[in-house]
Amino acid sequence: MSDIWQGPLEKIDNWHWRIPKSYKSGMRVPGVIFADERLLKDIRQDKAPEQVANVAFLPGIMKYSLAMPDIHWGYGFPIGGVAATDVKDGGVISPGGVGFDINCGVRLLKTNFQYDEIREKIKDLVYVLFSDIPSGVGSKGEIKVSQKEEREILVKGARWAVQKGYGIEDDLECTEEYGAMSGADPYAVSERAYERGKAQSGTLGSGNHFLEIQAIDQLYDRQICEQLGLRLGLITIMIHSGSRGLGYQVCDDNVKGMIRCLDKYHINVPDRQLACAPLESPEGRQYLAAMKCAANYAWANRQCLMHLTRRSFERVFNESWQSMGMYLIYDVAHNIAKIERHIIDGKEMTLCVHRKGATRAFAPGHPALPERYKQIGQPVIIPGDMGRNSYLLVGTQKAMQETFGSTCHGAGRLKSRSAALRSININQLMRELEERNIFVKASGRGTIVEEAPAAYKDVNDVVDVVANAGIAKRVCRMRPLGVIKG
Amino acid sequence: MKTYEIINHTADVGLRIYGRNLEGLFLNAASAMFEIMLEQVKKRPIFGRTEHMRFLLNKQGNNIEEVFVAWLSELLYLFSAEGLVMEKANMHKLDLNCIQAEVIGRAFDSDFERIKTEIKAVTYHELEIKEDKRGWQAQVIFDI
Repeated sequence: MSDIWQGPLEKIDNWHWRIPKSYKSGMRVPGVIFADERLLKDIRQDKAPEQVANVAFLPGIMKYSLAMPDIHWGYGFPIGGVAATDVKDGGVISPGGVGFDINCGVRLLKTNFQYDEIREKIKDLVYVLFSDIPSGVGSKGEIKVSQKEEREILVKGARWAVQKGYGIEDDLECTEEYGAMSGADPYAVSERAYERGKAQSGTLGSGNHFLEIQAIDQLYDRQICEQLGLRLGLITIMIHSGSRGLGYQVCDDNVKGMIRCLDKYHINVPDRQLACAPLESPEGRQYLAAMKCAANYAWANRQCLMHLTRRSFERVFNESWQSMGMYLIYDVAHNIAKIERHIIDGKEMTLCVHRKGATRAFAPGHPALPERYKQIGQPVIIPGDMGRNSYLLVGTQKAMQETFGSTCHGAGRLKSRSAALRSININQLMRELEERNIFVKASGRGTIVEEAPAAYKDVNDVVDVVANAGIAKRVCRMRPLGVIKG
Repeated sequence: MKTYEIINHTADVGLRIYGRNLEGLFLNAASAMFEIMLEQVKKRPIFGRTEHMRFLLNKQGNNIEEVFVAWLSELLYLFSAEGLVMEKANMHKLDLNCIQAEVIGRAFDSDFERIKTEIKAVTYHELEIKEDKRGWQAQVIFDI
């Protein structure tokens, strides 16, 4: 199934490659992939480019079906796909354009510590965090919520957590959408989704989800770093998690429902996983209202995870988190659909922007940004694999013009999990990580192998492309020190 | 006869499943799914008390693919919401539009088993079910 993709990829310039509209009858717009020659070779290795072409079938899609350089084969949409549809003109929303893990995302917080001050403590911290933060599949959190409260979480998102004392008002300002999308309707969420999400608040989840202690190892924009209080060697913490069972079920329920919509609304898509419905239809509205609930649940979850992290640090260092400077830089979603205003051919339009493994990257001055980031642009957090780097970027005007204010979301997978298990030796991998002073703790050894650096593209190459193409600007780079894997 | 094999997919897990008949295909698919998800960490005592659970399942679809996805999705739901690990199923009815079955299994017990791979969902992407001279074959991709 992983034969080299033979379709047309026309070079526009060093960073843009086009799949012409003529490639497949039914494509409404061309596809555009952000990549350089080197990454393009990897991109051709699986069916991701075919999926870029398939997304171009969606009714109401504007300009092009986009893919970021971390693109790889998903189901329905490719991972790394961005597509915007015209809300007013029959444009559709597709649960497959968001994914099962609705509002899977990342947050980055800083500390006052320099690497040299805490290098001896990294192992202790990892052990404490590993025991304090429920991770792994089916893990249940210590933060318990009643059913009535669960509905409240779905509406209030991260604010619910802050009101419970799991954070401060400032945290909300540093979260995309201020930690909650408006218009979330808890009654659009099925009982089954509640059942699957039950007791999972404040849990990390599994697979590629993680919590990482990092040190800043390179500064790119000194002025922005200074403004954010970031300097070389500073310790940061990154949390990657999503909406857990609740989000999976919301997606599942709605894909099933929307398969019926393909006939009902005469929609022609080449993959059933691209099932969709017009935004202005009962099914479209129902999904959007339920998706927002799952997104809010994920923001509450990451807020709880950050609270548990702060508490673990307090235990280890016997200091308050405030005095350790553990403030949130930003929290971004990378699996989501948003109703946004964008300028298309000089005209302001209301679009539904699907970001499936892609991050919002709004430019300086955008009204959605809080005052503190108006001048520098929206912080964008790019996690890499556990052996290489992660990045802090900011959004740009070029992203607004070219990608509906979007950029990449991570390194992007290169090898399948089974290929990783076949080709990577766990003992050797652990030795290599240790040589690089990276301490990893996971609930299973298999997870470490599946998530090994060799299974991913080099995030540095991916970020090079988005920076060179101008759809994000580099601020600083981090390297991992301690990793907790679900 | 092998009941399933893993097929390559960059981010997720794909399976090709075989069955002598439709019923065999559905049962083999369910066993394969649980095999991917779980691994034993400790042997169960032969005379130990294992809690058993039973669920009646009744799902419809417009075609066999939809029935197949509904079957696996329901088992996934029962696992994540109720902790059911399927051990066997009695098929009361199975055709191209409907499945009615009694699913019997044990309650997931973390003393003896652990979840090695979380399956988030059963997808329709590249889903294929066909009958040939040797029986039935299905291809399915799980989101993990």
